[in-house]
Order: sequence, then C-alpha cells, then structure tokens
Amino acid sequence: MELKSEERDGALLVSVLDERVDAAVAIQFKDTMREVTATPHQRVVMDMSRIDFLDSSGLGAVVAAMKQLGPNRKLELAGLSPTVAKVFRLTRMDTVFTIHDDLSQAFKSGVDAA
Amino acid sequence: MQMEQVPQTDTSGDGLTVRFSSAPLGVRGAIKQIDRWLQRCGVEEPDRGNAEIVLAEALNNISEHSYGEDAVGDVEVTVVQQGQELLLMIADEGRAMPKSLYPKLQSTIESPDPRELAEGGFGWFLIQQLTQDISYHREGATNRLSLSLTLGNGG
Repeated sequence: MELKSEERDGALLVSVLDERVDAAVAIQFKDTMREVTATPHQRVVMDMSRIDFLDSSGLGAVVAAMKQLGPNRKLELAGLSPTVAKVFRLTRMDTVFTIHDDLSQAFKSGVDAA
Repeated sequence: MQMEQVPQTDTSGDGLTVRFSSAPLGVRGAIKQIDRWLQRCGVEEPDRGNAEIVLAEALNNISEHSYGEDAVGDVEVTVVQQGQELLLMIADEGRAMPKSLYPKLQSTIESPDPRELAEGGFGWFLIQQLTQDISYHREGATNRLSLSLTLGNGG
C-alpha cells in the first residue's frame, strides 16, 4: 500500500498510488493513513484518481481513515473513477464526504469547490 | 500450507472457470483474470465494473465468513456470458451459509445509514443492487452461489 503525502494550499494532500483498495490492503491502508495524517492540518484531501477499483472493504477503510482524523478535521476525496464513484453512490457514502471531480477542483482558490 | 496464488484456468466455449485460493491475493488475482476475460469477450463499462464489484464482494464473504479469517481454502468461479446475461457461479468448501441469511437474500437488503459511518455491512447490499438474481444452495460440503447480471443496462 503506497500513499504519498505533501502540503498544498495549507492542506495535507494524500495521493493513493495503488490501483486497488480491496480486502487485501484495507487494514494496511487504514494504518498507513493514520501515519501520514499525523500532522496538524485541518483539511486532508485524498487524491483517489489512480484507484481503479475499490470494494466495500476499501470503502470501510476510507471511512475509518476519516473517523481516525477526529471530529475537527475534514477528509475530502478527489478524482474518483466511475467504478469507485459507484460504490460511494450506491452505499450513499457520497453524502458523507465532500467529493471533488479532480485536484484542480479541490484546490480551486478562494471558492468552495464542493 | 502455502496456497497457490496463481489461478488455474479452463476456457471452454463461452465460459471461463478459474480455481484459486481464498487468501486475499488469490482472490485479487482471480478477479483480475476474470476482468481480462470479460474485456476480451467485449463486455464494456459499466458492466465490467459492476461484475468486478459483485465478484469481489462475494469472494470477500467467502474469505471472511465461509472459510473464516484464520483459514484459507479453494474457490472455483465459472463465468458464462449468454447474450445479455452474465452468470457468475461460485463454489467453495467452507462453512454453510447460515439459514437465517436465506430469506434476507430474497428480500430487499438495506445498506447501513451513511450517517452511522459504518466500516462494513455493505457487501450483500452491493451484490443485490448490481445483480438480477441471487441463488444459493449447499450441496454436500460445497457452497454454490449463483449470481446473474444483466448486461447493457447502463447505470
């Protein structure tokens, strides 16, 4: 499970470098997210554009990653492929996260891109 | 015992049979292989993605519940495409599905309320949302789950 993190516009940008977030890596994903988000950033944006498949274990791991940020920090998602977006839509988890089409929308300056 | 991670394959006619280990990487390899086969058969998006979700959720259930977290076993998947129907037939030799689940599969399965931020409990819901028909029976020591998807439905 490979995650890359960097600061952008005062937020923490975490890019998922794996193509699959499934049962094989869900626990590792959650643990790695905990490590890379151990920063003071209030806003965390996850670039999911390289993920072409995410199952319900992967969905659970993304939810867990949000919960472990605590109530005062925010996890936003960007760049969901059609299949990944479908899993969020069917389970209505798209109502829980702020989801951006891509990173340029997530970091559009000055306006709330959601 | 170390389980074989490379799936074994039979191709005959318009079907594909893959045998593999229920360990996570065995499941992953089989899903990829079936996806490539669907692609070769001309199955397009969003049908391929739907089939991948259904297959992944069904196989995760086998790994987690049928064989259980601490054991692995063999799984066999046969995929048949007939016109607009895609049939996934999945066999394993783990524990039988609890009888209390049977009626649930034939009625509408609810997904957890998103506000509860559940980390699981979505598997059967996703399978039902994306399939036309679900059937399960226990045959001796074998679980047989059949799932059918209608192709070309959009979504």
